[in-house]
Parts: sequence; structure tokens; C-alpha cells
Amino acid sequence: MPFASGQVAIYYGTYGGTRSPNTYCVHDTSRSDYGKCYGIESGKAYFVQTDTTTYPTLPCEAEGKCTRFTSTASTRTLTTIFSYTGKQAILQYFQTRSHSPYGLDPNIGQVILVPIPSPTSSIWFIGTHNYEISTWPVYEPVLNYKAYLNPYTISVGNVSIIRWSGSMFCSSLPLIAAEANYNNVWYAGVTSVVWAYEASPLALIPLDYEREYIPYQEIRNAFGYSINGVDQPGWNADDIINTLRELFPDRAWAVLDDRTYALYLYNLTPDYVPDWLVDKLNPIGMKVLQPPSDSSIAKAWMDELNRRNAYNQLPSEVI
Amino acid sequence: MSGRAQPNQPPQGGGSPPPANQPPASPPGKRKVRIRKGKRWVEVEVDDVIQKGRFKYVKFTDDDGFETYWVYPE
Repeated sequence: MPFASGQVAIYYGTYGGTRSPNTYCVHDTSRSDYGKCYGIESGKAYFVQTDTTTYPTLPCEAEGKCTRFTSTASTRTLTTIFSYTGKQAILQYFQTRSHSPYGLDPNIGQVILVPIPSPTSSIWFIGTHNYEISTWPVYEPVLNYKAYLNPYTISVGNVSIIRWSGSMFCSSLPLIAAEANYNNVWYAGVTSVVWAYEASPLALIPLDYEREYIPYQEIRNAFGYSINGVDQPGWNADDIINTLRELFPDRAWAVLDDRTYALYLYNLTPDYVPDWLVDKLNPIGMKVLQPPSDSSIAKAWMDELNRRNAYNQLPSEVI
Repeated sequence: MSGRAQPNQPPQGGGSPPPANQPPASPPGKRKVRIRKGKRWVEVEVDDVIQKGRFKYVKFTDDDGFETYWVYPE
């Protein structure tokens, strides 16, 4: 059985190739700028503050620079990277960089981001069993030019890098924040993941995993879900097309038949198919099942795929 | 892409006329190319040629009536 590759990088306040990961928020309540976040580069940082009476709104919330949680948690699921019911997936690689105010200790005193495959035990992924965990600066000659060329220490907080590579069969991959029940704590980070899944027809429609209404549940159960909107395998291209016609008649979507390598476009034309998607999927042909009745529908599809794919690109200053 | 001419690019602007002793292969403005669909070669009338990513596709209307784009035969 051939396999296909999926990849995604997710940014929470900091950027994948940033050379100065100084993203930080102020958690010292005596400071006048308490609750502000500085150096946010991509996405939003997180801030845990349970006291909604004293702090009904944090400045970073108001400025769109953080997502706030009003309850503490030992571990918290931030998002689902993929979920394939009835399909095999293999986690192959991840790297996370987490930045939070507290120092490291053997019991993970720092908040860290880590993907934990399901079903499996977190003991293999939280802890120091089979990966390295280090404080900044880290000698990382491939990804971290700053540490390689000019080692430095960040002024606020700690940064940890976790890298794991191997092969772990799993059906879904939630991204976990190990928060250790801290209150009044912020964290930011970036997670990059590479995985494999059984080659299959794909449903190319960006879905929101957390929206629990019926069409989303049905399609996730039938076709699988991936956060990048592309690596969503199903069983049969015709069935996927028929189901999508029923569930999403007014949205734009595409289906790749992996037997013929034909890409079927619905409410789309090739004008809206990004070049990077063509280069990833290598379709031999494209068929327009229905041209867009409204160009804004097609553009919304293209924009959302581009937005998610942008996570996988290095920032321009690194290239 | 470089600015260098690609040897397999379709002629722009309609291309050269057919030799005088041969009838035109298709109506003016419609070229025919052979593309490989599955295990067989079929001849289609080209409406357009587009570039997507690193691939070039010919545009035509398929037998099923759908607007179709197929990898340009190199």
C-alpha cells in the first residue's frame, strides 16, 4: 500500500524560522502593562488567567495578540492536526519550540507544546525518554541560524525545543499544551509535524474540526480530517464527490482521485487552484464539475488553503 | 521559469499555417492534440493552454461535457 505525506506547521505567537523568538507576555501583576504581549509574529500566544473579576479582559486579548483561558489545566488540547477514522497514519517527525516564563525542571516546569498520537501513551512523548529538551540557546545548525551564528539568551522566559522522529501508528494527532495547572502563565510556540497516511482519494475542503454540527462530523468520519485542508483521505472519489455535493452544495471544494490523478473542481476553476497545490498533488487532469456561481465562494476556498499552507513556508528573510 | 523558449511549448498566436498541399486539421483557432487518458490516446480540440505550477495543461470540453484540463503532451 503506498503512502502519502502530510505536513503542517502551526504558529502560536511566534514564527517557524524566527531568529529572535522573544515572544513574551507580561504576567507580573504589579506592572502597569500586565497582560500585554510583545513580539507576536504569527498567530496568537496563550494566556491562562482564571480571575475574570479582577481581569475581565486582558490587554493582549483586546489587541488580538493572545487567546485567553479562564481555567487551568494539566494538559489542554489546542487543536487536532489530523484524525483518520479507519485509515492508518504514521507520525514520523515533529519539532516544537515552546516559550513560557518559567524555567525547566525535570518535571516539566515549563509549559510545552507537544503532539501526542492517539491511541498511545503520553509517557513516550512528555518527559525525557526519547527526545532531547534544552534551554535556549540551542545549537541547531539547520533550523536555527541565530543560535548557530550568534548564540544569545532571551531576556524573558525560557525556550525549549523538542524534536522527535520515528514511526508511530495512530489514527489521530491532537496537539497538546502541557500546562501543569499553572495559572497566570503565558506561552507561545510553533509546532511542525510530518506524517504519512494511506494513499487515497482526497477531499480538499478546509474544515474546522471543532465545529460539531452534523456535516462536519459526517465528513470527518467518512473522509478523515487534517488541519491543512488538503491531506484528508477518503475511500472512493465518486462517493466523496456525491457526499460533498449533498453536504456542501454552496461551498467550493475539490476531490483528487488517486487512481486516475484527476482533480475534480466544484464551484472552482483552475484559476483558483494554487500553484503549490498542483505541485503537491501532480494532477494529470482537472475537471470542472461546476464553475463558481459566485467568485467569492471560490476565492474563499483559495484564500483559506493559502492561509493554512502559508504556515509551511519559511519567512522571506530566511530564504 | 526562465525566459528561454521552451521546446515543447504550443505555438502562441495560432502557430504556423498547414502546408499548402494538406487540408487544415481543424477549424481555424482550434488545434487538435493527442492526450493520454488512462491507457488510450485520444485526440481533443484545444480551447486554450494554461500553466499551473510546473505543469502545462490543455483546455477542452470532454465527452462528458465537463470543462477539462489535461497535462499537455510533451
